[in-house]
Amino acid sequence: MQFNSYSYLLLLLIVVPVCWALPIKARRWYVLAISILFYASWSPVFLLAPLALCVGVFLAAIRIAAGGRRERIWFLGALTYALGFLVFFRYQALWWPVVAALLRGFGHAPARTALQIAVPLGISFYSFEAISYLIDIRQRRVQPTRFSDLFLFVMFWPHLIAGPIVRFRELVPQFAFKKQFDMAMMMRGMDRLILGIVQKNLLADPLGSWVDDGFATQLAQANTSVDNWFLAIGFGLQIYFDFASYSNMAIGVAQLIGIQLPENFRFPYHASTPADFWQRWHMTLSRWIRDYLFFPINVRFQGAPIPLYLSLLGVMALVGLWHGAGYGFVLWGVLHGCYLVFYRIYEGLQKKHWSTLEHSRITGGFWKVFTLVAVMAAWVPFRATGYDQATAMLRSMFARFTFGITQPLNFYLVVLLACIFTAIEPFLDSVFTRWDAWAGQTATRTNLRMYLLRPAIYAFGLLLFLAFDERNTQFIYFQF
Amino acid sequence: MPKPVQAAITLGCTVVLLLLLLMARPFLVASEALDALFGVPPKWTQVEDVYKNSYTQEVTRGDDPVGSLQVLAGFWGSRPNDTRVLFVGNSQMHVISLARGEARPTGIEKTYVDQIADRLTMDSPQIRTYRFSTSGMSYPEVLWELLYMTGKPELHPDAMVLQLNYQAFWTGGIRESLLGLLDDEAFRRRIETAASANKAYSAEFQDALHRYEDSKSTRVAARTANNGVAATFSASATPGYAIETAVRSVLDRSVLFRGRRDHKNDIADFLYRCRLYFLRLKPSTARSVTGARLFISRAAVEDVVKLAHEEKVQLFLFSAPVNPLVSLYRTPDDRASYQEFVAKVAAENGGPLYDFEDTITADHWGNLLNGPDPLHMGRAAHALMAQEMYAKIPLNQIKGTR
Repeated sequence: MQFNSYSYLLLLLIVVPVCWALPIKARRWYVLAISILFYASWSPVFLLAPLALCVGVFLAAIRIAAGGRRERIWFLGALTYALGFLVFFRYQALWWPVVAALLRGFGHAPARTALQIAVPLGISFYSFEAISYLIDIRQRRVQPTRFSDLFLFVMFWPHLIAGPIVRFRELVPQFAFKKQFDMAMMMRGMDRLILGIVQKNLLADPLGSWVDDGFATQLAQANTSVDNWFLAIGFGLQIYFDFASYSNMAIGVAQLIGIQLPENFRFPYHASTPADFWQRWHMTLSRWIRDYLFFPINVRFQGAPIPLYLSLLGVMALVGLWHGAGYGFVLWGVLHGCYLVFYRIYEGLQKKHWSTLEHSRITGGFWKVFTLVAVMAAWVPFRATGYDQATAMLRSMFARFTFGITQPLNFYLVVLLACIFTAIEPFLDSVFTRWDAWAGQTATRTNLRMYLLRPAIYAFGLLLFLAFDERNTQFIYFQF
Repeated sequence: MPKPVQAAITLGCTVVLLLLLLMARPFLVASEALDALFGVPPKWTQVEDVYKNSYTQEVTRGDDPVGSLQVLAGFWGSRPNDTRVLFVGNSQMHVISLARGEARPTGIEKTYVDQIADRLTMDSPQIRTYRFSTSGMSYPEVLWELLYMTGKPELHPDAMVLQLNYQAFWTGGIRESLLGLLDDEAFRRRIETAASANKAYSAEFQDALHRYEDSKSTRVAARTANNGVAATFSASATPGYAIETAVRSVLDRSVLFRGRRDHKNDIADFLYRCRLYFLRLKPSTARSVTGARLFISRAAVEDVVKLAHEEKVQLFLFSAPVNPLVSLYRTPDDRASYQEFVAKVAAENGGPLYDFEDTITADHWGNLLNGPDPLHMGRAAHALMAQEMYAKIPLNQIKGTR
């Protein structure tokens, strides 16, 4: 069931009030039941994957928490098990040819040239959550309590399919539902939900249809540099609005029942440096990578530059690979690794030799422009249909500049409109926050906000959602 | 007041306001206000009562060509010995946009193609004409249509009068409504061959084939899901999809819900007006046709000529009239390059290019919102165009070639 489907939104009208009406102790079981039903709405068979993952991880967690000589073996075994899940389902294209070659070596010709095992939705997200749980158990940050806690942590429906990637200790305590009813959080949830569905239907999907047309043509080589820049920016904005809309809906729906999920985006295209970009883009994945991969690796090297740079490149390549077994994703990750290394080198030099540049507007402006241009360029291999298209587009964008436009005029206007919206997003956010605070200062304003202004904004958002409804669109990050 | 009740009231107010917005069509109102502000001519200048006949025209103007061609197949098929003449072009062939000073319409009006058809039938009763005009026509679409029609004896034309128009060179793609023709297996094979032929337009055909396959698999999967048999994983074969289908069918019973597409059109129209009035970017804003779009359109036109020769379809090429008040070409080079190309195509066709580009003077063109219409002509212009075309193109000498 899609987050932007009518059935899902109408079901929320039942699910949310029932949740608040239930006794506090019953709510966690209710949320677990709804989560299971939500996942089963994609395919009941898929339930077996998170169930099997959680059972294995929970049993191992008990042994790890018990300590002893075999703790390390249990930990590594459980880690392999969780990673194995991910690799088995997500990276069939990588391991099957190897297995097939081995089988052929032993004289067994496999019947299939490619495996086609359906990938359970959200496996990349909940595998990472299971791994973070194991590491937290091993580092004694959490204790294995009940199986239902772990299962609810993984299955909690708003974040199940495409994140945000949460930690056990920030989510599970909230299932104690300390408040009988949280009106303020519910209203914030409504704001986020409406914002999400509007971003998806009004911005992400229309941009997507133009961008798909632009990338579909085999004559991308005949596109001008201007076309290719617009295509790269168009896709950069499309994927941002698509994923941010999903995150907004996830956070919003969780808030509707009183659960706070971590933020996933904070105006990423306003980043001032490549490092800042990763503190604004898919923040929960960055946090996961930083805490569970990058820091543990670099603790060993104590900040030595070369290992630091190599680990940055390696980690970012893995971030790319997390999106799928495609060269384009890896190249995207490696490019981001290069940007981060470049910035680290500059930072090092600045500290040693150019300390006067630290607050310089020129260098600040340079890094801002560099980050935006580099990030947009990196989307090309991520989205391109093949290696030839990616290289032709990048060459045209940076090396052989040609003017003129060859796509329909509306494509450029839609991209420009989305750029303007992205540019003023922080301003709109601060205006809305200030307005909300102002409106809450007196009883009259509060009532006006509650019964007229908010409903008017919601109604207008829903009108846009209805108008731009396209049934067969998916969220891009569903495939990851 | 208890907080849950407050929340319920907020939700109730939201629903009431949403219903009001759905009924009020706010973007339509905003568009009308903009029109009034920028002095747009009255609506009746866009003639609505234009002559329609399913046997001589694609009456849906590109929205349902599959249905129209079925009607035509039945009609032409029952008269195998008649001579068939096909007129292909864009909306200029089916729209009448009255010029300033032209009287309000009082009855059914006919476009120049319909007037030519009347004369032809009068002079040569065995000739059957068909106007296959679509709004925003692209040349890959023309090739697509000709491939379909020449593959079917009951639709095979003897002659084709093709409009060449600079504007159509910057249009591309195969519209959704033409994908239905791929249900015909023989035609699909022809398209697959063209899609793999490494022509400039092949990618557009491949894209159309993919879209067709997608829509087909969605249709099949939706059927499967509705029967409760989800065989493999596909978004359209999930229990959630079946639930959504059921919810939509219930919601679709409401007139307001069904009208949601109108709101999308309202928003698109409103944005279009903003583009036109504030950015001054008109559909006719002078531009260069370059890059992929140019290669695709040129390759498609060249192959239309080749196909017509192979299929023994007598081809008449004419250049569409252009409003002198509108400059379509960004530079003189663009015009020279375009004219060089159409001359080359005419030479390949082995006949003249009937040039009507400057036939209609400025005072005979309609208005597009607050500016001159680059494409659509008034009543007098259609009459003049019919007279000129009938005089210059020897249509009444066409013989059956099948």
